[in-house]
Parts: sequence; structure tokens; C-alpha cells
Amino acid sequence: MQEVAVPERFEQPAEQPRRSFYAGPQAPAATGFSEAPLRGLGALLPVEPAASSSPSFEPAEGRLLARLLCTVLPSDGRREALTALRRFGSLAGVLAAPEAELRTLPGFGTHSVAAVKLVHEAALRLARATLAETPVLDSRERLYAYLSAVLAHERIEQFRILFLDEAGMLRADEVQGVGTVNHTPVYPREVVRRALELGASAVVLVHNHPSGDPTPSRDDLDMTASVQEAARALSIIVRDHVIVGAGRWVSLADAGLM
Amino acid sequence: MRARLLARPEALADYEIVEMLLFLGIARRDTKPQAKALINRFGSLAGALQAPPADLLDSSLPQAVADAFALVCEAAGHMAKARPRDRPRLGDWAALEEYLDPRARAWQPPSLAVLLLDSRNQLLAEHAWPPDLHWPEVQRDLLREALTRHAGALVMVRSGGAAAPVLREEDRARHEALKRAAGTLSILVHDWLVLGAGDWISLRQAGGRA
Repeated sequence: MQEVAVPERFEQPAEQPRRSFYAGPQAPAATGFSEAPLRGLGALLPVEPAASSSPSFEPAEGRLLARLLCTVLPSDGRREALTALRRFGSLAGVLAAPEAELRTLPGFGTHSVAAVKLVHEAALRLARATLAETPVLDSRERLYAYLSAVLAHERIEQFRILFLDEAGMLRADEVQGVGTVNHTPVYPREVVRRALELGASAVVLVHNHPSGDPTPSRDDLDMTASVQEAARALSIIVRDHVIVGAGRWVSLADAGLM
Repeated sequence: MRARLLARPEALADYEIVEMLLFLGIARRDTKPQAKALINRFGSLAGALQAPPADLLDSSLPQAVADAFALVCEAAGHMAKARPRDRPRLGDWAALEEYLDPRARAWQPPSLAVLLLDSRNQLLAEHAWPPDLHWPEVQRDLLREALTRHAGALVMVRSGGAAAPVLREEDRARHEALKRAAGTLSILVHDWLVLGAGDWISLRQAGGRA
């Protein structure tokens, strides 16, 4: 299953006149990148790309994160929260951030990292329980909110399955495969086997496109067909295949592609 | 249990999640019995998290625990609206130029930086090194970062100092070596840029094959 076959080429217009960025004496002003200290190998300070617009997080997110951090830090947590939010862009980004990256932030020792991961996991379970209250496919909005919580900040392609019972209620949500950035192996046989184990009569396939563009690829469509065929042999229905992008989703069922 | 939380959080039992949340509100001691009692009383982890604070205080739990549970509920609300950040797309020279403009304008110490891009040429991250380090080690380090970040392409930028940019033989040689090594990892090297004194040179434009 491939999102794009190869990385996009670099656009090369026919005539590209070389422009000077700036014609004049240099001012020794600090920029974002000159602030990044240069150290030897093995002690690099990775620079998160600066948002070109104003910060994307709300004050409420900052307050929440500060409240969490002050339970494990001697400070009120505000400065540490702000640094983390600038680095990862949002509360959800901080909660989903890999441990190793969190640890590079000031104030983020084991206790802070553990607190963040704990809240993340607890919130995910709460979100899942909320989804399980009503038939999964009854409300697109509710489903997409859940999938955003789970997948919005995943950097690699992840394939998940929502297993449904006869009433369309969520029985389980499991990661089925995790791939390299453009390709995730999916085995129809494993999907069907797991559905049988769980007593599920239907499944919803889900995967994310880390680039943010949920446009299905040829491979996405082919893979869906393979799983449907395998599932049919055991009377299990593939109700939908949802591709999660950045604030956008594609439902193959809604799009008539299944 | 903290080690298990960090390694595989999904493997923890619901009551263990409650146990650890109780730690946030209670001075550390064995919270397992209280955690299990909470799940029994409210039916599930979700039930406990969404229980009215008055009911939690009934169970002789401090306000701090009610606060911790409320915090989780609020966090779930934010996560439901989660959108990945917009990352600058650097797939053409106009975009690169705009992105690099601030650092071309202002003096900064010499450095060699890599811009790591995903399969749609969106910027994933940057890393920088002092430019006079032993190249094979920089290259290895750079490629390791590229793999860790799941980059599909990259752009090298040598910048800093006061002199006008000049393409050195060393730039060409390193570019060639990098392209070969990166190619084996399915990573494209889009360009090698040199910035300086408010101007820039692209090796690709200057005749280096891409």
C-alpha cells in the first residue's frame, strides 16, 4: 500500500534567475537558526521548523499542560509548557510526541515525560470508550474525531482496524501494521483471522497518510479489494476504508470506491 | 510500571492507568486498591474519568485526583480536534528562498545544515553541524537522522560567515558522496546550497546533476 511511489521531484523552472536575498550591509541580528547552538556530533539540537504563522495552540492548551507539569515539577509548569507547545505546535502534538524528543526539552525528565504519556494513553482510552457508545458508522463526525485523536500526529503510515459486532458497535480497535513512510504491508488473512478471534462481523479499515493528503492511491484501492475478498469467504463485511490526512478524511465507501 | 508505560502504554490494564493517575493527586503509596475500587464503582476507566467530582470526593479522594481526571477529559477534547502542523513545503526554489531568506540576511556562525523533507517535500526537521567536521561522520549522522525522521528527500545548506558564497570542490565531492549513499536509502538529494552575504548559490543550478 503506497501513498506515493517516489518522493516528489524538485520543481525546476526552465529559467531561474538567481536573485539576491538582500543587497546591503549585513546586520548582526539573531535569527531563529543562529540561536541554535552548534555542538559536536552526537549532541545536535534538532530544530523544529518554525510555524510561518502565529502559534497554533490556544491558551487553554497551555494552561492544561502547565497544570499537568506542575504536579511533577517544582515550578508552576508554565515555562516548560510553553516551550513544549512551541516545539510541537499543539497540546495534541506534545501528548503524542516520542519520548526521546520530549526529553530534549527543559523540565522534561522521566516524571514529566511519564505524566504526558499517561495523560495521552488515558485520553485515548476515553476517546475509544466514547466511540464505543454508539454504532461506529452512525456519526462520521464522531468517528473522525476519534481517528484524529489517534492518528493525527503519527509520522509514519499506520494501518488500523476497527472491529464491529452485529450492531455495528466497536468491539476493538487495533493496529494491524506499521510501515515505512510510503508503504505498509497488510495481510488480508491476518485481518480476517483477527476478526474471527474477536467475534467481529464487520470491520472498518483505517490508515493515515502522514503527508496530510488523504487521496487514496491505486495500492490503497487494491488492498481494500483484497481484504474484502478474503473477508467475504468468512462472511465478514468490510464496511469502509477511511484514510486520515491532515484535517481531511476520505471514506472509500462514501466515495463509491469500494 | 512507569517503564511499562513508556515502553508499551497500550499494554497497561485500565486499573493501572487509574493507579498512575492517582499518583498525580496523592502522595506516592500503594494506590492499587483505590484504583480497583474506582473502576468497580464507576464501571470502567471512562466511567471513573467522567465521574462527577462530588462522587470522587465521596470516595475520600482529594481534589487533586478530581483535577487529574478532569484534565484527562479535557485533553481528550483537544486531541479530538487535533490537526498536524502545517509544515513549509520546500519543493521549489521560490519556497526554499523564502524559507532561507532570514538566515541569508543576518550574520551567523558558519554551519552546514540539512533540511529533511517528507515525500511531499514538506519540511520535517533541520539539523546543523559546524562545517569543518569530518565529512563521513557528518554524512552518517545526517542519514541516520533522515531515517529516524522518515525523510524522503533532503536539501543541504552551507551558510554563515561574511564572505560571498562560493561553490567549492569540496561541496561537489560531498554532494556526490551524499547522493550515492542517500540513493541506497531511497532518499533524494534535491540540492546543495551555499548562502552568504545576502546571496546564494545552488549546485543544481550551477550544473551539478540532481
